[in-house]
Amino acid sequence: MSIFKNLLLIVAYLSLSACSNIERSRDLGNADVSGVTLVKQVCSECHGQNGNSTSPQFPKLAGQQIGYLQSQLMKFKDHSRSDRLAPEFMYGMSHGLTVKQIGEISEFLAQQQLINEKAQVMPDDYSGKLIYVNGMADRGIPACQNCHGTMAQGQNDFPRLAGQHKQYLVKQLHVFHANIGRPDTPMQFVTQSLTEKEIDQVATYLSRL
Amino acid sequence: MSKLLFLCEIQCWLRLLILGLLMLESSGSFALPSFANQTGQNCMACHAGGQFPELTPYGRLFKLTGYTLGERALSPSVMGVAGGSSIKNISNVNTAMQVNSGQALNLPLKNNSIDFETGSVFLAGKINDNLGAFTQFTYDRFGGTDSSGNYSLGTFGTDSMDIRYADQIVTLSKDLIYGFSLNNRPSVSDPWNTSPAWMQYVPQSNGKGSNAFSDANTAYPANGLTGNAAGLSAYAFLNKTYYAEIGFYRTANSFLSSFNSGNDANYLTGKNTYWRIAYNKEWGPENIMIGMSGFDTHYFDPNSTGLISDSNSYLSSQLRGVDFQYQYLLDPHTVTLQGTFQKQSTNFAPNDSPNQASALVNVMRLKGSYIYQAKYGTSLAYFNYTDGSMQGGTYEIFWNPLQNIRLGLQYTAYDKLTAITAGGLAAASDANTLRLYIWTAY
Repeated sequence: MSIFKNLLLIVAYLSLSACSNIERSRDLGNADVSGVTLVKQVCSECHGQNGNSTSPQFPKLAGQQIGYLQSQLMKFKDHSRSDRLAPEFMYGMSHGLTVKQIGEISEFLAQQQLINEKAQVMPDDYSGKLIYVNGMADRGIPACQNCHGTMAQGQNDFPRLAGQHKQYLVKQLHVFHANIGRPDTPMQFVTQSLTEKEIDQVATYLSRL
Repeated sequence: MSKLLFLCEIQCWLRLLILGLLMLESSGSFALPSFANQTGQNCMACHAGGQFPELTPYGRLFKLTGYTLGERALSPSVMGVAGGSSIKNISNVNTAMQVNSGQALNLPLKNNSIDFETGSVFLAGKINDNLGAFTQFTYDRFGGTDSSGNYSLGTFGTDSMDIRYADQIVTLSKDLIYGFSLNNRPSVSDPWNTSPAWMQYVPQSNGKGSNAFSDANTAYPANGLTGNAAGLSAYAFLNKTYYAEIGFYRTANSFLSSFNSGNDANYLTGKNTYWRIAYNKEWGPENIMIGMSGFDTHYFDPNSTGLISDSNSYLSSQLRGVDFQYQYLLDPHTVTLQGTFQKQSTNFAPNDSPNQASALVNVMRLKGSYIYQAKYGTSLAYFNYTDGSMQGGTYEIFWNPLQNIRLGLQYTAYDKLTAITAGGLAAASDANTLRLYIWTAY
């Protein structure tokens, strides 16, 4: 028998024996697939293994606050978060998730260790840290650490910012500044008087924590 | 006068396009092709800057995992292309083509006119957790010849077929995707855009009318060899870094006859081995791939004077290629650089007529593109056949008003084109071609 036919028989056997593969499924419409499986088989394609994404197009989710992860997935699912890339990437991903799966995904990612290759390489310019720690009272900008924590580790619905991709932080600060698609947070107010340079400085500082 | 008519036609088509866009906007309708239906994502999640068919890192993983990621199952979608071309000196080109090859083109009938060109039906998506498919069937408005030899009849047939079984194993230190692909062309299964089946301007012109000289129609060895083939390949992608694939091809007949693209001439014999290795590296918003591929094939020589059952009627061809791709993907910017270098050596059949022992062709293709906000794009490409038969470049600008509609303008300029310059009846630049197209998918 030819190599071709042998291979074809193997593939046919594998296909017929794998109608349902719950442990390694990428099915976003099957409530029986666990959230942990979905993280490994689906989320990891963009957000990296264990939530440490390579591309700054996609945020790092490892070590993120569980409450924040849950609330954002729910906002993608009900479309109440609509900044430009939300419908393009996340509406479809979250559409069929159950509350249980969202809980499992969030819990798993929150438990992962964030890996930051740029940690400890602090910028010479400490302006970003000063904005984060003190805010700018004269312009009505409160200290970021009041909500996000002294080490930018986040708390509850306030996300962890430490170690996040700089480009992602800059992009989201612009989203808040322009008030596009992320309602229900005080960030529109906080970012209103931030300049481009200050956005860059604070994002640089946070990405190196 | 004819160019004036061409401009009038362009104006009419633009008005129709704008009307269509307004209707889409006002009705709020937003239909999506099969994969977007399945994942609920925008086309640009998988296609770099919405530039089809080029894949993003995520798009490559979606393909390698067998099109099984998502919610919905196998679903149909359609794609259509309308376009037209204007060749610089149609009179000289027509005369030269007739004298040099006797090849009948729809010239000058189809020059400076815009027509519906091709329409495709797709059936694509997941079948179960491990099995998925990408199948495409295409109607070509100018695919068949009439009694005078003019390409004026429509044809419908299999285009691309890729049916996959795939699995992914993820542990703390390992990410392994492995699978099998049953397909109808070597490198259709490849996830990078520099493989022979995918490095082309899309939409691809049919080349039978006045589009014969646009870049999409510059011949590319290996892609055109096997319109009558079916192959099965096994592949693995480890840690998103190392890729390897090996496949074997045979004639697409008996139970695989649906894989036949309509080219009955190419009967294959033997194993017809295809192989591919690639190194992939992703860092920040950038990624690069460097790869090699090969395809050894034995098939019935179209110029053979013997029978299909006669082994002296078969030629052997060996293709070796090196390719690379660089991508920068960070909203709103998409930058791509691509290059491929191929060497194809052919030993013709002993009873080939006119008799020639062998041929060697080296092909180089380079392309760079930039897209802003997945809406406004531009690209520049260079192609060169080292036997001196063809050399030139293509410049393109395009606009995606919606993710599933693209309006593009291409200009292809030739420095060398022996198909028309042999005999001294035309200059290579006489074939320089301006092409306008409208592409859409639902």
